[in-house]
Amino acid sequence: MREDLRALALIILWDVRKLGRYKFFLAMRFAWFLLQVLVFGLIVAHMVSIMGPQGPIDYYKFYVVGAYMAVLFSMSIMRGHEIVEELEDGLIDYQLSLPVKRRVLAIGRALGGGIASFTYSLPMLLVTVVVLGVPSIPHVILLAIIAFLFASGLVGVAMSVALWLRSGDKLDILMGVSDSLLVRLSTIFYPIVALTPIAIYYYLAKVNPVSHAVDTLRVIAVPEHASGITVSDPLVMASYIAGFTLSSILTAITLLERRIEGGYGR
Amino acid sequence: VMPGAQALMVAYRDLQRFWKYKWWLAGLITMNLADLFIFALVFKGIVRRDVVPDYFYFLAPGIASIAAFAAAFTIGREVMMELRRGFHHYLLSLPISRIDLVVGRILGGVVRGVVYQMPFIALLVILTGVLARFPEPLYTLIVNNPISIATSIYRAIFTPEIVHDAHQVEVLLAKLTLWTITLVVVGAILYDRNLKS
Repeated sequence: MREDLRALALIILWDVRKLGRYKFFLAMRFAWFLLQVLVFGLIVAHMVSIMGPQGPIDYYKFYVVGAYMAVLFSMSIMRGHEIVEELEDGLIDYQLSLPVKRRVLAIGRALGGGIASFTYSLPMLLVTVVVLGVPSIPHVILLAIIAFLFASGLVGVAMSVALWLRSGDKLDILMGVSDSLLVRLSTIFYPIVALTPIAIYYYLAKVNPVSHAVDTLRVIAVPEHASGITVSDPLVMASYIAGFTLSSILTAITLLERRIEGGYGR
Repeated sequence: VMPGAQALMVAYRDLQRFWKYKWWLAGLITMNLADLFIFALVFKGIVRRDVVPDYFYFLAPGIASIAAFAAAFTIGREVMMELRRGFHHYLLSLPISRIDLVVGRILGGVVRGVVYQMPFIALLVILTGVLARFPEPLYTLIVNNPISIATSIYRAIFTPEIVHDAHQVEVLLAKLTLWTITLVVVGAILYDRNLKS
């Protein structure tokens, strides 16, 4: 048991330590985020005027949380591409040859992916906290917990899809399409009230876990601006995220255990 | 062999390889269309009408420009994969001069961009766009971005009656030419340097 826990910690640490390999990617993401928050967000907020049930919505504050979620989303989804690359390079085969139980390896990769994605997004979270003026430390901690939970859920989905497809090209397509649809059919860039005129978009956004995650972050970060414009009640949204995360990580672990062998599929 | 014929052959090969990415292209088109038919449609309802009377039509020409850029970038993605897999050594072993290879690859990327944006241009023939004024000094920075320049040219062609752009089309074309020359020269230098390393 002790050995298993040590192996688990090592696998998680290995995933997080890959940060150095992505310096350029992370710098680009950070630059993109700053541009979104300090340039695009300000311009768009100037252009947008939307009424919530309790008066006009401060679109800039709304947008900043959305931009953070968009970054967190793309960073978490990137773990799927990483798994496919590892299959292609034979790194997974190497990991299978290590004296580590397969279940431990699967749990370690799934958890490590979530922790790494969340860690990579920390500079952006910090900017979000500063720009929005999050009221207190417990609020910041709560923000981090929700972001970490959701990142882990997304990593689980990305890993499951990657192991199912086993092909970089197919993954590129599926992730590209789902990225564009999941992000746009959510409340990342517009509140749920803005989707009401188009019924199909409205209902899809209502069941989209991304909407629940981003609106939960809004309720925590800017409660005075989020009231009445979220997809659901805060507790329901938090439960939704917890359920999504748990089920996607369990699926990823099951698939990692069962389908990790076989290498890259062409 | 006619001068430039080898470069054309390289460009033709790149164009043929473009169709191998049909599923990737389908993904890209889906993304661009999602921007237009989801993002722009929803945003249309929340953008102030006094700033942008109709955001859907406003975004449409921008999507065409972004699409052209994204498609042209596929050649960069391919060059990266070739370098990673050492395929460029094979290309260097071919009886083609280095300059023909470089010009051919860049030409291939240009043709891909043009081919890809054709359906979007067709879409623009149907749709119309509206130009919003951005605050200074961001406005200056944004309008001189190559994507914005291309978008303005499209707007000037397709929706001249509702475009309030102070720039003449000739000026925009000159700016775009300058951008193209700069990017092509930088691309050629970088590609040539990568081939040597």
